[in-house]
Amino acid sequence: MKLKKACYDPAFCRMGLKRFGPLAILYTLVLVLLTLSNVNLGQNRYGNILTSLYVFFQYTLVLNFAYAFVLVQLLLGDLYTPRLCYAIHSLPVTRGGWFGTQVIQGILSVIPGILISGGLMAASMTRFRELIPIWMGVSMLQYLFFLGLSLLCGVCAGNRMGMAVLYGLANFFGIVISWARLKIFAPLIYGMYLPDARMLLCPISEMVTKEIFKTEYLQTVVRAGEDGPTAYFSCEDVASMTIQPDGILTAVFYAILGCIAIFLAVKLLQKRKPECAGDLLAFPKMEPVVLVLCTLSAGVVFHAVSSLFDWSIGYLMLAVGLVLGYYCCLMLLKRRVNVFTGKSFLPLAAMCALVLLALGITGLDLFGITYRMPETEQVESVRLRLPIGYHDAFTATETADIENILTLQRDALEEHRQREAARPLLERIFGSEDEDIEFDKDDGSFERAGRMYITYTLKNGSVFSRCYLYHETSPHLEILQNIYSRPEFVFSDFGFDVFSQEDVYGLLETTQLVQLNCWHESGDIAGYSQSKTINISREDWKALLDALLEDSKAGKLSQSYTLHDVWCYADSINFIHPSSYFDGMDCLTVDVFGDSENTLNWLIEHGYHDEITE
Amino acid sequence: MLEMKNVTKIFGDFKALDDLSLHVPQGSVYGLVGPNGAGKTTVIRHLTGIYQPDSGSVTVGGQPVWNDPAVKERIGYISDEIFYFPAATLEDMHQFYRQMFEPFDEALYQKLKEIFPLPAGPIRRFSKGMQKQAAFHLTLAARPEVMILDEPVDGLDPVMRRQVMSLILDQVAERGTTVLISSHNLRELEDVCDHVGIMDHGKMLMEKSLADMQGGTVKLQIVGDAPAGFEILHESRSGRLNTYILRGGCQEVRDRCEAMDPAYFDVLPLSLEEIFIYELGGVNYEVKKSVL
Repeated sequence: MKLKKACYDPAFCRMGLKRFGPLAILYTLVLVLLTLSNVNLGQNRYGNILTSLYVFFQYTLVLNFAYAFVLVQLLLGDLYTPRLCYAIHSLPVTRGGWFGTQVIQGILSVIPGILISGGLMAASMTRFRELIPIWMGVSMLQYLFFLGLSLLCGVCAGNRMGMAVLYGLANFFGIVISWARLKIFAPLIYGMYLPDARMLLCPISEMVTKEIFKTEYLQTVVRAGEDGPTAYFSCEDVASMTIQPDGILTAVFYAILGCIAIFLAVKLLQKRKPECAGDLLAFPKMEPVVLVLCTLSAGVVFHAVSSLFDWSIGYLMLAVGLVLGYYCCLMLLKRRVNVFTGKSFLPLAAMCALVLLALGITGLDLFGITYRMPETEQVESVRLRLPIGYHDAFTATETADIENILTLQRDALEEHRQREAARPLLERIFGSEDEDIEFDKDDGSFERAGRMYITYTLKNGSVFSRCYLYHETSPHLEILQNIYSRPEFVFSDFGFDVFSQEDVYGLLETTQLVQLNCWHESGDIAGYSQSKTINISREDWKALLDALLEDSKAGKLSQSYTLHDVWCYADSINFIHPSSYFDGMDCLTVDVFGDSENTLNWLIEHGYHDEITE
Repeated sequence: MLEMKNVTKIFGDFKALDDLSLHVPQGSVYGLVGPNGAGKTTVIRHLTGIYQPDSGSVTVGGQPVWNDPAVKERIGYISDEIFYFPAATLEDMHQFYRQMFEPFDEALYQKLKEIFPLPAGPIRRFSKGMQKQAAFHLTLAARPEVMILDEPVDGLDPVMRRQVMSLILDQVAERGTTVLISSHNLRELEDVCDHVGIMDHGKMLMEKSLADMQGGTVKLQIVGDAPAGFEILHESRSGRLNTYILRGGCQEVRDRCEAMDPAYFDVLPLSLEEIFIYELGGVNYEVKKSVL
C-alpha cells in the first residue's frame, strides 16, 4: 500500500481545501481582529500591555475551543450522512488515509492565522516580545488538544448532535462534578469547606487558571489627568513579568492528550460501522454511559439554575433535571419522541435511587467526616482565617496555638451536636448544614457572629479545611479575641506590614498626623452621632501606641466588632502617613471598641475623649 | 473475478446475509436480482468494501476488498444514491476522481462530456437522470476493471437507458470489464446479462448463466395434463388449456408431450421475469390475489 494512501490522500485534501477553506479564513480573520483589539498596539497611556495580553491569551483559548468543534463538524460531517459515508468507504482510500487527511487539514488550517497574528504582534509590541513565540506555541498546543478531542468525539458520534453532546460532556462534565461536590454534597456535611474549588477535569478551566505569565508586582504610575494627577497600577515601567512554567507545561500536557485522542480516534474509526451514520452514537456500547452522564448533567444544571436565582427548591430542580435529561437523551438515542414506556422508566428510577442514596449517605455522614479531627501531634501547621481585614490569616505551628484552634473546632462541633439533636430526621439528612446568621437582634443590637476558616496541614502531607461559625456565646471566644488582637492583625495595612510589636513603633517614623474620630454621643458609647475629629499631639503618640498595645495584649483590640464584648465600636484612630503608591497621603486606621479599656481610658485621661457614662 | 464465500452479515438482531456465496466470472455481465429486502444492496456494499463481513470472505480478483485502496481503485461503483460532495460541481468531482483514480482517462471523460453534455453548476441541482449521467461519465472515465451498478437505469428515460446500457456493453466488449448490475427491471437485465443470481432473505437461491437458467425451466401450454416426471412450479387453467411451469429442458419436455399426443401443446422458454416470479413462488414470495 502506498504511503500516501495510508495516512494522507491528495484528492480529499484538495476537495477539503475548497470545502473548508472559508472556515479557516474566518478563523484567521477573527484571530487577527482579536490581536488588533487586544494586543494594545502602540503606546497606550491608560492601558496595560500585560493585562491586554492576558485577556488575549484567554480569548485565543476560547476561539480554539470553538473553532476545533466547528471544523471537525465539517471535516467528519461526511460520516454522519449515510449516502456520503457509504460513498467514502467505497473509494480507493484507507480509513486511516482519509482520517489522516482530515487531521492534517485541521492542523494546517490554524497556522496562517497564528503566523499572521504573531507577525502583527512582533511589528507592534515594543516590550515583552518574548511572549510572542510563547503565545504562538501555547495556542498551537491548546488547539491540538481541542482538535484531538473533537476528532475523537466526532468518530464516536453518529451524527452532528451526537458529536456536540460528546464534546460538551468531555469539556464540561468536570464542571458538573465540581458543582455537585461543592453545592450539593458539601453543604450536607457540617463544616465542609473546599477552598481549592477548582473545576475538576475541566480542560478549559485548567488552561485558564494556569497562567502562562505573571505580573510580579505593580508600580504606581501617576499621570496628569484633567482633574489633577491620576494614578494607576502598571508594570509597564518595570521588568516585572515572569513566564510561568506551569502554564506552559499544562498546555504541553493537554497537547499530548490531544495526540492520544487522535490516535484513539484512528483506532476507533477502523471499527466504526458505516451503518451507524445518522444515529446519535457510532458505538452502541456507549449508550448507557452517555445516558447516565447526560441525566446527571441535566440534574446538576437544573440545580445550579435554582441556586443562581436563589430559589430554595434545589432538590426539586435536581429531580426535574434528572427526568428531563434522561428522557431527552433517550429521545436522541432512539431517534423518536415516544420513549415513555414502562421499561424505559426503570433505568431512570435506578439512577434517581442512587442519587438519593448518595445524598442520604452524605447527609447522614456515614463516613464520619463531620466529627473527624486530627490529633495535635498529627498537625504540621494550621491556618486560621477570619475574613475581617487586610491581614486576616493566622498560621499556627506551635503546639499551644494548634491546640487552641483545635479547641475552637471542638466547640463548633459540640454546638452542632446539640443543634442536630433538635432537628427532624429528614432535615438532618437532606437539609443544608450551612447556618445563616441573623444579624439583627430584637433589642436593636447586632448578633456578634462570623465565620472562621481552618485549614490543617498534617505531617503526612494531607490538607483539609473546615468552616464554622463562631458566636458571641462560643465557649472559647477569647482564643479568637487574643489572636486577632495581635499587632500583625491590627496594624498591618496595604504597604505596611507588621510582624511584631517593634514594627508597630516604626509607624511613628513615617506618621505625619494622628487623628481621633469619635462616632458616638459623648457619654453614650452606643449612641451614634456625627464624627468628631481631634488631632493627637505628637508628644502623645508613643503613649497612645503603648495603650493600644496594652489592649492588644489583653485581647481587646481586634478589628471586628464580632470579637468584642461590647458590640459597638467607639472610635477610630487614624495614622496618616505619605503613601508609597499614591501621590499623596495614606491612612492606617485602628478601630477602638467599647471594651478597649486601656486606649479609651488613656484618651479620656489626656483630654481627647469625654467621659463615658453608658 | 468477484467472489463472496460463505458471507454472513448481521445488523443488530437482523441477519442480512446468511452464509451467502456468489461468483461473478471475469468479463461477464452479472444480474443480481431479488425481492425488496433480499440483501442485494448489502451484497454490493460488501463487494465495494463498505461493509466488512462478520464471517466469510469477499475478494475481487483474488484480493480481499476491505480497506485496500489498490483493489478499490479497480472498482467503479455507482450506487442508487449518487455520490457527490455537497455544493460540488461536475468539474469539482472531475478533479476529485482524476486524483483519486490513477487510471483516469481524461480523453474519454472529455469525449463523454461532448457526446452527453451536462450543465455547469452544483450537481445537487441536476435532475436525477443528469446526476446518474454525471456518475457514469466519472466512473467510466476512471477505467475500472469491475463495474458495480445498483439500479443503474432507475429514473432514466428510455433513450437514456439505452445509451447507458450501450456504454456498459461497450466497456465489456472493448476492455472485458466485469459488470455486476442489481436491478428490478428484469426485462432490461435479460438483454444485457449473461449470468444471473437470484437472492431472497439473505441467501442465494439460484446462480447460473442465463442460458442455463432459461434452459432449465419451461412453460408448457397443453390440452390435458402435464407429462409425468417433471417438477411443476406453477399451473393455471383457461378453459381446456392448461399452462404449466415445469423444471426441465425444453427438448425433453417436448419429447414427452409428443409421446402423449395431446390435442395441442406448446413448449415456450421463460423470460427472466417469469423465472424470477416462479422460482420465488417456491419460497413463498408470490403474486397474491388482492381484493380491495
